[in-house]
Amino acid sequence: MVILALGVATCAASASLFPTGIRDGDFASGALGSFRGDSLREGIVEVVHQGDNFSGIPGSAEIPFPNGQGSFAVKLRSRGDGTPDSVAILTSLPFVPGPGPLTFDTLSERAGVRLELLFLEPGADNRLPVPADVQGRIVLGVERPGTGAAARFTTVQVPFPANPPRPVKVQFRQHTLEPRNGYFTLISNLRAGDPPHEADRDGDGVPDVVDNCPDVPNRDQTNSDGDAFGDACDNCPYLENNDQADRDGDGVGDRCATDIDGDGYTDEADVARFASALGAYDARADFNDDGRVDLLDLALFAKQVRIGISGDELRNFAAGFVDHSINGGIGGAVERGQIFSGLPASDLTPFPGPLALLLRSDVPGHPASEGVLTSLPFVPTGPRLGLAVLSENLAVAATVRVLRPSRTPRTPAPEDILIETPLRNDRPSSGPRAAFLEQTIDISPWFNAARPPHSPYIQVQLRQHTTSAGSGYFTLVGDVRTGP
Amino acid sequence: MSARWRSATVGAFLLCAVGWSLRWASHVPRGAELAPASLVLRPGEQAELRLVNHEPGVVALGFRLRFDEAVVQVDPVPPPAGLLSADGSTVHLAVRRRPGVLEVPGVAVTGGRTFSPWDTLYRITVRGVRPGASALTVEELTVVDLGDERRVLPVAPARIAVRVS
Repeated sequence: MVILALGVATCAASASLFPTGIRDGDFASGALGSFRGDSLREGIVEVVHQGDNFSGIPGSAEIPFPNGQGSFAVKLRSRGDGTPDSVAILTSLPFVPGPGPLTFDTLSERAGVRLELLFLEPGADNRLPVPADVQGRIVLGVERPGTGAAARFTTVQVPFPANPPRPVKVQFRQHTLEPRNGYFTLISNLRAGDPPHEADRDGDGVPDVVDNCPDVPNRDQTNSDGDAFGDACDNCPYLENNDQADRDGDGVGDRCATDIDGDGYTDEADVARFASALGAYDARADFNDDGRVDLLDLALFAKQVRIGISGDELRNFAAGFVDHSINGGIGGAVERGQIFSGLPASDLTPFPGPLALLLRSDVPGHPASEGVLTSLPFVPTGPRLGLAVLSENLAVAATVRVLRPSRTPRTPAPEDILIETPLRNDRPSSGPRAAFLEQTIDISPWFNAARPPHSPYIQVQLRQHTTSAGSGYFTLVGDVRTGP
Repeated sequence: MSARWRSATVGAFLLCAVGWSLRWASHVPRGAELAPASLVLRPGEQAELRLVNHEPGVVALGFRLRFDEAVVQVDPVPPPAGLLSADGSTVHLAVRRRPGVLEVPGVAVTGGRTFSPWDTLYRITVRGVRPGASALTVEELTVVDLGDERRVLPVAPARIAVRVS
């Protein structure tokens, strides 16, 4: 009897460990969220955006996604050359199903794919689950395959195998049936009964009690300065200001309101205005709100004046970047002489300076896991952005973006991406014989040569992920600067 | 070696280590200093002095320089005009002058950068006017650090001599 009671208690405890219902089933953050991407022999799992061109066959950019413009889906497919045993695997985190069936929307590009749905025990291995861990397995028929503007997702409903419901992981496995041809399958809007109702005023899927912007949709909860307000609703997103004070009501917090004369730029005129307020009182120059304008206010003012990437001198530049990595990706700074890779002799890699930025997918090497570093907004000091780059292996996708300052830098809106270009990777290596490659990007459209301080603020973003599941390789970026 | 000798040796070694550490600590400069600490100039000749930092994480500073204007003329390098520096790395508020006094109300590094130990906080040129001696005294060197704390740092005066030969 005691053993039975303990068993019941253990079951109850384990059930309560898992949330009710599937989270992030619409992938609206642009990331896998509560799902994991795995593969066998380099199958591909990635989140795609409506309007993206994500297939070699024309038409993928015109496919209407079920949630409309700006929405996302997960793409599964065998690797590029269509190897039949290359399998893409999408697995949810464990959850307790609600009362209804599993529901999702799906679209396959061609009929020549096999799509399986598995219901797994919470502790099952995602890539190679043993039979005892499989609660149920269904081969899904490919209905209405297609691509282009006329393609339509199909809504599928499948009952959960266990009754009463017990904790489960839902898994999709996809691979090609045609050697040398890989076709995609898209999946979105996974639902498994409704989770318990929690207030969510902005409807972003994050309950108000934990939402850092309860009235502004920000599913990714990006909060660059670590204060109580997410970037999407922070009037000073890169400087902690829990009071959100904004005495002039211009939407820019007092703590970072360096545009004192309100002309849209922080420049010489603002410095002059600040200087004239020194020792006297001007509410717009009293950044720390202590009733006078003094050296402390000058320090706060200068901190917000970013002429040139916080980084023209290598010793400091890494401090000008914020980690916006996705799905466990890694972004940070490493010092010359530090061991930063599992491969031998990474500590002997010759850096262009004392520091370099490091980006990579998570340690297991999930392609959906992305290292992302975003600079603080700055005024360029010249028409060119320069950097030095070194990747460890060819199996990485690394890009540099120039952004218009964005309230959602982790997943910037397409109109905020001014430039996106691949980082060079023509000589991947590490160790003493590795060499950083110089790369220059033209940013002249965003540089005002006549009055440099009147150039618009921009951000530089570096992104990297592995293209080979199970293998995470680093990309190092050093000497990031703008100039002639 | 007996246990007593071993203990005595270890004790002596520890005493030496502590003494050496204290002696070394007394040689680590703090605050800031004028470099060079003394200058000999001819009338009309000029030289540069630097205010050198020895504190970590300095983000802003202000101070007053006092000198004998009958003996030397003091100017900032380059003459800031209440503007951003050419490379945008510092903000300089306009200097103020009174007879025998050059007031630097504020210099701050931009974009979250800092002055590190051994960085030059400020540069001035000193020009000999007529023979004599003048102390160049930094008064109320106030710095703000990364934690928004304000401190006044001591600075030893520099000795300037102006000689004809």
